Amino acid sequence: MKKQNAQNALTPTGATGALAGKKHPLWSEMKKNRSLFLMLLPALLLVLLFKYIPLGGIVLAFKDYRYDLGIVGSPWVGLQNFKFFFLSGTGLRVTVNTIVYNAANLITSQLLSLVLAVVLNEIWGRRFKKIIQSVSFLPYFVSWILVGAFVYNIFNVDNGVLNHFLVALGHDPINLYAMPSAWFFIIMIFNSWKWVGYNSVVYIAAITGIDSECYEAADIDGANVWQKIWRITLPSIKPTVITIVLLNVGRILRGDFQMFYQIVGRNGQLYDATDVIDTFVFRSLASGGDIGMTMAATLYQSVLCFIIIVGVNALVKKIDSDYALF
Amino acid sequence: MKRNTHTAISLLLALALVVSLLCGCAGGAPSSVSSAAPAGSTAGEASSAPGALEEATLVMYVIGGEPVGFPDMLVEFNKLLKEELNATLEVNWLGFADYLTQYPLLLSSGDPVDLIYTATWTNYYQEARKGAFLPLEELGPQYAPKTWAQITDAAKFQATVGEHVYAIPSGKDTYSAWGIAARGDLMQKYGVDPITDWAGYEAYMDAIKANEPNMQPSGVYADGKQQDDVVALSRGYYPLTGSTGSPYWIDPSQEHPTVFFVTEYPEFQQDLAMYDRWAEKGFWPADALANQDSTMQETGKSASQIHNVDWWRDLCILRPEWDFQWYEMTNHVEIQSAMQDGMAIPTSAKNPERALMLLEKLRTDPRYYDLFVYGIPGVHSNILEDGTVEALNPDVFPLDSCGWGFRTNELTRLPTGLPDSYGKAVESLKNSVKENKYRSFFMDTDSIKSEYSAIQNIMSQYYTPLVLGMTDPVAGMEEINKQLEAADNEKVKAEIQRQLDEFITKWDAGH
Amino acid sequence: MSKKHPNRIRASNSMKLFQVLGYLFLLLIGFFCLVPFLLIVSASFSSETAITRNGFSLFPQEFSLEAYKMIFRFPDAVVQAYGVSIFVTVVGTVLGLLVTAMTAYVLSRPDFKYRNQISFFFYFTTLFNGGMVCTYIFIIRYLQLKNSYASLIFPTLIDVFYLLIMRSFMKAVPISLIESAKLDGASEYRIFFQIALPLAKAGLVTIGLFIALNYWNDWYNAMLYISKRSMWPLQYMLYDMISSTQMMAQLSSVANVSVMNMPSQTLRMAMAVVATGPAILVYPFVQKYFVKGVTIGAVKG
Repeated sequence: MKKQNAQNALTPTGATGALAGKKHPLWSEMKKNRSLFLMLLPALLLVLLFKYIPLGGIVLAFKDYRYDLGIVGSPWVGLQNFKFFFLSGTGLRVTVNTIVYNAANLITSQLLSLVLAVVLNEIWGRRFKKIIQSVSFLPYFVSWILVGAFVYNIFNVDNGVLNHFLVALGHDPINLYAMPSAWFFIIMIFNSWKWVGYNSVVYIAAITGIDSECYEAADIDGANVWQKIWRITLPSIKPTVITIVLLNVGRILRGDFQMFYQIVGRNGQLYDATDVIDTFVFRSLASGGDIGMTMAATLYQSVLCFIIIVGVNALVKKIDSDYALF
Repeated sequence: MKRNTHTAISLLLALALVVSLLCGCAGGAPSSVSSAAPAGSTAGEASSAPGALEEATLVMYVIGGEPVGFPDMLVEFNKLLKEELNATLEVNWLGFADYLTQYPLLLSSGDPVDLIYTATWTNYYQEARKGAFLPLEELGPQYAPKTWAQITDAAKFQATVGEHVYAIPSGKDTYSAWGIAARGDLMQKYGVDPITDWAGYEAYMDAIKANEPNMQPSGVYADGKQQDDVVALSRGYYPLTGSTGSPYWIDPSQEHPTVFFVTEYPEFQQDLAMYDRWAEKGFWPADALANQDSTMQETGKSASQIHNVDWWRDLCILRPEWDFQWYEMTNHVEIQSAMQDGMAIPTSAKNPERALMLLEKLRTDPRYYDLFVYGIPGVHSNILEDGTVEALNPDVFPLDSCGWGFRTNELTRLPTGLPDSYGKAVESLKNSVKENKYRSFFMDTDSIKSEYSAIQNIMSQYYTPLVLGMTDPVAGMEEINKQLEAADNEKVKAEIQRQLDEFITKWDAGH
Repeated sequence: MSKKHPNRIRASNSMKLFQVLGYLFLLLIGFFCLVPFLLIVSASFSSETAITRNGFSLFPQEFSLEAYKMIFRFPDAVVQAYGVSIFVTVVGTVLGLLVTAMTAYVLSRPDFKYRNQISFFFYFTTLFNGGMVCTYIFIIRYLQLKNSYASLIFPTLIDVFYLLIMRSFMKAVPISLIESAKLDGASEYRIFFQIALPLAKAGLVTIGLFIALNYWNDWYNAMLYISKRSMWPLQYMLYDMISSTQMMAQLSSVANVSVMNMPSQTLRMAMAVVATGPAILVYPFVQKYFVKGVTIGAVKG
């Protein structure tokens, strides 16, 4: 916060100059496009009210919050609230884990959904297509807590489906719960499975939006199915794919807490490989529930996400400004 | 383009800052009557003459799920309350699922709350330190004199945070007694002797392992891993958090105890070898920490569980045919910390005086207590001649679903139909209670919270797998010591030691 | 897709290969998505002891309605909660979709000068948030929305993710179309409702579905802002039910015997069925919008 003030104080002329200069075009733009601005108004108000005003809570990351003194009155503690995160080096490890998991999950789950959407688009048999599309949506409704129960049912040492199978084949049973590296793949598979139907809906809708004249023309030219996918379908839905990838990159430091917590549970042996920021923070603060420290961890995630997305967005803008998020 | 974005960002940040500072988010409870002296004298006199009391609405928060029949009871209760204290009570519930989230939010919001349940497990000490509750030394004796007199000095000591008492601890003793609940029928079948020590327990589990291939000898699962705590307790050590999973322990028999990390007690290596051997023998599966089934013992999947006496009582009622036995293992039964349950007045209270008068009624007047906790007589429950209470419709009104905060030994009733052996077991517990002054010690981790949270993480990430024989004992110990050093264990230990020394001086002065 | 039928008669080899691989792939996906759900349904009709003893199976073991009886112990409450959920979902989806589409449309217009800055203004809120305490205080104390359905609808009315996905759908509306409509003297509102919306139908349905699912599944806002039981949506009611059974089982100090043999595993399964049932029934109706293609030429002409 201090920095913020300092910056404003340092550049009074520049800032106000720019502002004064800008005010005019914005004003005339608003006059010119009054109806467009009016159409934006409800959303702007909602976001202002429910998102921007509560942003004041960020100061709690630098405060020792007291009920009787309130947010404004509570004493400042500097960076004290951030300390727990970096003590003993765990913070760095879980940050790396979070990024690796999210990147892998992003690629695998979006790729699977994309393939599903493309295949559904080309396949014969209307009814079959509809059934598969509906069925693929089912995992979305299975809560992570139930997924956790399934995972245990499949992988547990004594009664797990997997080990029954291995034993029947004459292998020794394996204890995956002592093999941290396996969980990277297990989590990736279950994540893709859960979101496949849900994510593919966006792609299916995007494909639906493709002008059917394009396909007809391709048919006349004698293009085969692979060519049609490669030359028409994929390029047409590229903007949607890029939007979704960018949106997901913007939350690359946020883990799906429920997924990790329910699949891995309280299994200390797996933490090294499966800990993400959210689970680590949850575990460290579980009994104290310190508001300031929680806010500090959230702010850390936000700042990193902000840096990453602004960078990636700038890169995309350079290549093709149409695809940028902002 | 670039500059535009930059200006946009700084504009946004500035906007957010200004807007949020302007529009509020000031938070904080409105400061309320802290000194009750002037209002006190009038209300104090008036407590005998309700007509003189101004009409008031009291807001109370408890933890749990609201029973369906509760509103009906509250109507009856409010008739009584209106007549005698000229007040109307509104009860709100914080669900079990989310009380950890809702509780601090409620206190932050500054919404007026007159009376709230509090306990160690709802972070009483931390919340009190953050200024959540009103100090009660003046208000208490004035508006709830009988209640105030009920609280023992030790309990008052335990409810003290800093300079003040911020809660009225419940007046019912609960016992901390850990032991083994084992299958009597199987012990007889396989000729196992009653368990008196850990070797005996091992013998029992050996017999199960040999004869019952589908049964897990021990009850270890994700939420049931108190084994190492109970072993350490049985060695005579005391956990400074007062409950299981404590990283720091002391030996209370020492004149001036030294704080140590749980792996540092003299017999630990020996115990670790025992856990390792048990794991090796397959007393619990290698993936026990992934198992979330809390019903293994009642469904016959596990043959024993290390738990408290109430756990065993429930098993007896559920599965009388298995003849469950209970073996107390810790050799020192203690009365649990008074702050296991209690009631507090939040800083945001509008009617702190009246809230205390209500609390006085609930704690000392059976008409109030019975109605509130056991429901409408003849509809929700019946109180039998022997003083026990029989639930008529536990789905609509379960007994004692919300009264934990103001229970007293005098007014609490036992449910009808408990096995005889339960009474005996409780009686023997009462007789073997030992006093432990360290129960009154509260470990304040506020000044070392970063380090302490790292230590908590070490407990779940490295310590638990170690004592369940899932990691190699030697390598596991090395890893823990390395992690402890990184988390500044010495600093934490020194701070707790300082607090403990201070406590001892204070305690010795008072007694 | 009926247009493609003629091709089927003389389908090329590559098409045949694609169909075979495609069927295999889809069958595989279908299998893995369907089976777990069937396991859940079957478990919900099984007895608790059978499930804890034998694990899951495709057909109910020791058929039992215990879990459903538990949920519908107080049928009025369940019906009421269904009512709240439906009301919130319908109102929230209609309003949310309208606002989202309108905003996305404006932001997608290449001739709208401040589209990037305003997009950033929205996007920023997905990166930073003020935490629960401040949001809670603001909504409870300053907006006075405690125990109001508004607190279930408005805080989540605009989801910036959906907004930006919607924007990408709106980008498919050709600017030439908008400009020619403008020349014809159509107002911005008319262009939006009569040209942009029909062209983005598939996107609208998608985002509408997502918004509706979000409202239907939301229990978090109810947990924070609704303390009156009669105003609880279905998901929170179920959520509360499952967690209190769990907690009660752990808090054995509570002197009530009936808590220990509650069907906690099967209860959870039955809840999944009760809560997702309606959503699954609605899905096929939504689906038909995905099949029809759009022909921009038709609109142009």
